[in-house]
Parts: sequence; C-alpha cells; structure tokens
Amino acid sequence: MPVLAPLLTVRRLSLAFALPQGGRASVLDGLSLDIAPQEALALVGESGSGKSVFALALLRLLDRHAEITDGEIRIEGEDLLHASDKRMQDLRGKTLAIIFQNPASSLNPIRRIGRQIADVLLAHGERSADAARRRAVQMLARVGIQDAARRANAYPFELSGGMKQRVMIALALAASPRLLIADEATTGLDVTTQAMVMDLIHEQARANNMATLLITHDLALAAERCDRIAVIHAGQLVESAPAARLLTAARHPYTRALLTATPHAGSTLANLRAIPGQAPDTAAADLPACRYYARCDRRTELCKSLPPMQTASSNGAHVVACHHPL
Amino acid sequence: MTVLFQARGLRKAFGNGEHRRYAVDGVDITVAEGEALALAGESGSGKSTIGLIMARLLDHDEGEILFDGQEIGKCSARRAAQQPWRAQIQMVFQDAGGAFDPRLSISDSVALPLRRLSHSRGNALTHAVEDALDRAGLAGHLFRRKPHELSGGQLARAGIARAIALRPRLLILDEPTAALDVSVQAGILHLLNELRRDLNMAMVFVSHDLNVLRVLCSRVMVMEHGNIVEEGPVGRVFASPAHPFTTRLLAALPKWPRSEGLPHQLPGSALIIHSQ
Ligand SMILES: Nc1ncnc2c1ncn2[C@@H]1O[C@H](COP(=O)(O)OP(=O)(O)OP(=O)(O)O)[C@@H](O)[C@H]1O
Ligand code: SF4
Ligand SMILES: [Mg+2]
Repeated sequence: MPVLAPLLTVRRLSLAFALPQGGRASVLDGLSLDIAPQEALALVGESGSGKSVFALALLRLLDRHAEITDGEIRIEGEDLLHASDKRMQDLRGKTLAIIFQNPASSLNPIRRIGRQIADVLLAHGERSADAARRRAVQMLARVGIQDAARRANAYPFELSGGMKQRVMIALALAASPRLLIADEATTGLDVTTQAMVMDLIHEQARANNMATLLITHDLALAAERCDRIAVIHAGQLVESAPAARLLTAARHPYTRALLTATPHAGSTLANLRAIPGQAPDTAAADLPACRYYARCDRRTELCKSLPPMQTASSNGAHVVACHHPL
Repeated sequence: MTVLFQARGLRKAFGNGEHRRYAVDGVDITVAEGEALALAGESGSGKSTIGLIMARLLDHDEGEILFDGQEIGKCSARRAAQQPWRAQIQMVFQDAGGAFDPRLSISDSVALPLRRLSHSRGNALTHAVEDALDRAGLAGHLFRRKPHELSGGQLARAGIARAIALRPRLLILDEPTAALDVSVQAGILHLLNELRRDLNMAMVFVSHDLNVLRVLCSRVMVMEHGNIVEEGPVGRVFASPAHPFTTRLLAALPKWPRSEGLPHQLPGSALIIHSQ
C-alpha cells in the first residue's frame, strides 16, 4: 500500500461539555485518527458514543458549552483548532462538508433546492448568478435527480426522503470538498434506497478524488462501503483496522462484543449475544481509564488506572487500545 | 399445526378521489399457534397497515378476519376495545417511549390495560405487573420510574412488558428494535423468542430488517405495493428467493465478509487481509 500523507490528522482529541446542572461530561477522550486522501473510513459505535460530536468538532460547529481540552486537528496540514472563524467558513463546504441523517433539518424549507445549491456556489467563488444556477441544475442531474431543470424549482417538502438525501449530497458536493462526512446519512432509509445513496456517495467520491468519513452504527454497511473501520466506545477510540480484518480478526473485546451482537446473513439467534451493561456516564468523577472496564470480561486492575495505549501492528494498519487484547 | 389467526382478502385504501390508493390490496394471512411469522417489505409497502389491521386497531375496507375460529373483523376498531378477545391480540410499536404516559410510572402504565381488560385488582394486579416486567428483563429498581428516566432499550422492554402482561396469544410487533443499538437489540430478540417458546405466544414481526427477521422467524411473507409477492420458510426464501423483488431486497443488504479460512488472533502480526 502506498503511504500517502494523511488528509486529516486528529491527535489526542479530548472534548468536554459543561453541563447545565454543573460538572462536565468528557465526551471525547484522547482520540487519534488519520484519514488518507481518497480513503473511505467508517466510524462505528453505539448511540451516545460521540460520533456526531466528533464530526461537529471537525467542522467546528459545536455550541459554546463544548470545550476542546486537548489535542489537535489538521486538515491538509492546516491547524483547524486555531483557524479564524472567517477561515473556518471558507473551509466548510470547500474542504470539509457534511451530510446529516435528517435532510429536512439541513435543507432550508422555504428556498427552492436549485437556489440553495447556487447559494453555496456563490459563497465559494462563483461570481455569476446565472452560471451558479446552471451548475446547480447540473449537480442535481449528477446526483440522479431526473428532470433536474424542473426539479431545481421544487421546495424540499415536494421531494421524497431518498430524493432529499440526494439533494443533500449535491449540496455537500457543490464546492468540491476534500473530505465528505456522512453522519448516519442512510439510517432509516429502506435497504434499496440506502444502497442507491451509498453508491452515489461512492461514485462521487471517486469522481472528485474525495475522502469520506462514514458515521454509522451499522457494521455490515461500514465493512461493505469503507476501506477501514474505526470503533469508538464512550468517546474512546478502541480499535481501527482494514474493514474485512476488523470483522474477521477483531482484537478489542468491545469490537468482538459488537460483532457478536450484530445479526448478519450467517447469524442464528443462538450465536447472537447482547453486550452486558451500558457505556459509563462520562460525567462521573470515577471514570475508569478504559471506559469499557465495567462491561469487559478481560479486565484487570490495570485497566482501571492506566489508560490503554493505541498499539499498532508492525505496518500500522491495525490499531488497538487494550491492555489485554484478543 | 393449529390455526390461530386467519385473514382472507384484506383490502384497505387511503386517500380519496383520484388519490385513493390501496395500501393493502388483497392479502391472505394465516398464523399458527406459537408461530413466529415475518412480514418484510420497504416503507410504504403496506406492512405496518397490515399489522394494525391484524391487531384490530385500524379498520379494513374488505376481507374477513378470524381469530381462534371466531369472526372478529365485523365490529369497528373502536368497538374492538370492548371485545372479550381484545386482551388476546396485542401490539408493540417501534416508538416505545411515545406510547407511555409521561406522568405515569412504568408499573402504573403496565397496570392500566390489565385493569381495563382483565379486571384484575389488588395483589393479583401487582403480581401480574411485576411478573410481566420481570419477564421482559427490566430490573426491579426501574419499575417506579417515569418513561423519561429510562434508556431506549429499557423502554422497549417496558413496551413489551405491557403487551405481554395480558398474556396475549398473538403479539404483533412493528419494528420493535429499529431504534435500538445492536448491543441492546440482541437481548430483546432473545427475550421475544423465550416469550414465544415459554408462553406459546404467536408473533408477527413487521420489519424491513431482513437480518433481524432471519434469526427470529420461521416463515416470511414479503410485501410490495400492498401485495404479498412471496411467502415461505425463512431459510428457503432467503437462500433462493423466487420473486425478483425479494431478490432485490436481499441483494441490497450489505454483505458480511466470510470469516472461514481467514487467520484469527494474530497479535502484533503484520499480516493484512485486503478488503477487495
Ligand atoms: N450540546 C451538547 N451538550 C451536552 N452534551 C452533549 C451535547 N451534544 C451531545 N452531547 C453528549 O455527547 C455524547 C455524544 O453524543 P453524540 O451525539 O456524538 O453521539 P453519537 O455517537 O452521534 O450517537 P447516535 O448514534 O445516537 O447519533 C452524548 O452523551 C450526548 O448526550
Ligand atoms: S483495557 Fe482492560 S477493560 Fe479495557 S477492553 Fe482491554 S481488557 Fe477490557
Ligand atoms: Mg449521531
């Protein structure tokens, strides 16, 4: 595998929320992650594990209760955490773009969809309103909206769920970003629509030399669509590996547990097991160093007091953070 | 096989004038006692509408419905609430939280239908409520909590507890785990299977998640545009689907890499298995 300089580098990222009732929740804890140019990386974990917060941190879209307590984020070498607000506005859309699960919440309900795409183009350097409008129609056609010239005049409510998701993708792609983040972009869609939307993202990524970060709780989807999978538990990155390897030779106890809980074509009820317990409250004062501690059947005293280091296999492709990996 | 539930020629239309469309368009369904039947299909295929009609929570336009040999499709869904068979057919929805009164404790919510439909009171009532919550795997210290004080998985269990407290003979579940993490889902699937086995409860699972249906059910009906396009044993239908729509559904499922022959547990090894 050729070693490319990473597009995105995240080092020891820690983030806490100030809680209204006082105290702080440590939502991301020492998270390190790279994404290579054109790579498709999946971020997988349970609800509340910090996936969306991570995505929002990359875009610097978190509210004022969020505080980054440690670490750095670089994209194409540029320090994101110290970029000015003005610079961030430029980077959003042009370097990093995001598609959310609920397209309704990110599309302006009272603006025609063609206009919304033209707005993005105009904000990122297109001068002529006419040209922006024409390109908007092209973009809609490119994401598979039939009769794009006419549909460009539609309002979001006139479109089906799958179609809105396509418009979202067109919107995210408008300024040709280097990294496209899809946060549960197909969750809740039918499998056939999901496959269509994922094909579209894949196609567009390839055509535009774009890297993708696919955020999902669906391991099978992650494995089918991504080069590499990273697993997060309670704000800690526990393992990352090439997709097929993660599914067939996972080394972290949590990844293994997640795999045995996921029904797939080869499962029977007998070999399907729930994960005992719950992820810990990240606002608790006595959080164990490894946050999987209370649920783990391999834990020792060490795991409570000493944070497990991320350890890579000799060529760096399979990373695991556990004192007693499988 | 003893037939528990049978529907013939079910039809149901929504909308009016030129927008009138049949969501269910001539469907026959038979459920045997203690059977686990899967109703698969995409959104808008009519599967949830069938679930509601089977539970007699929604009126159908045409067709007959027999439960335990008795015609139950003639009275309106509204009047069904007073029928003696009401307790025997129960339904569980995806949004378990929304189905609970936010002001009531979980155990009071579970007691409500018991009081109304089985007329139990006092100790017998308390016992029935606690037994149902126990069976659903909810920890005792959660019984007195309000719905907003429970996690999604705990609420799903409470929703199941409320439905099984009445000891129904037919339980209809519409996407009961769709909102849950797999870590919790697996537990609920085991629970449902045990309830079916121990209480001989027939279950109809309405879902678009073929992988969940596969582990839980023995027979599957596949719906498209208000029609059953394929029906048969889960193993047969999933291994060699006969209808093109079923084939398309199965093909759209993300593939799971096969683990046979791949080396396991190679601590520190430099060996990398490429995905393609
Ligand atoms: N604005 C906020 N203020 C305080 N806490 C927050 C805020 N946003 C998120 N959190 C908390 O941060 C944690 C991580 O949330 P996040 O939304 O990233 O989870 P997620 O992994 O995306 O989950 P899901 O799969 O449900 O989308 C949760 O405990 C959540 O309650
Ligand atoms: S570090 Fe310890 S507690 Fe954490 S996953 Fe590994 S063995 Fe379990
Ligand atoms: Mg999220």
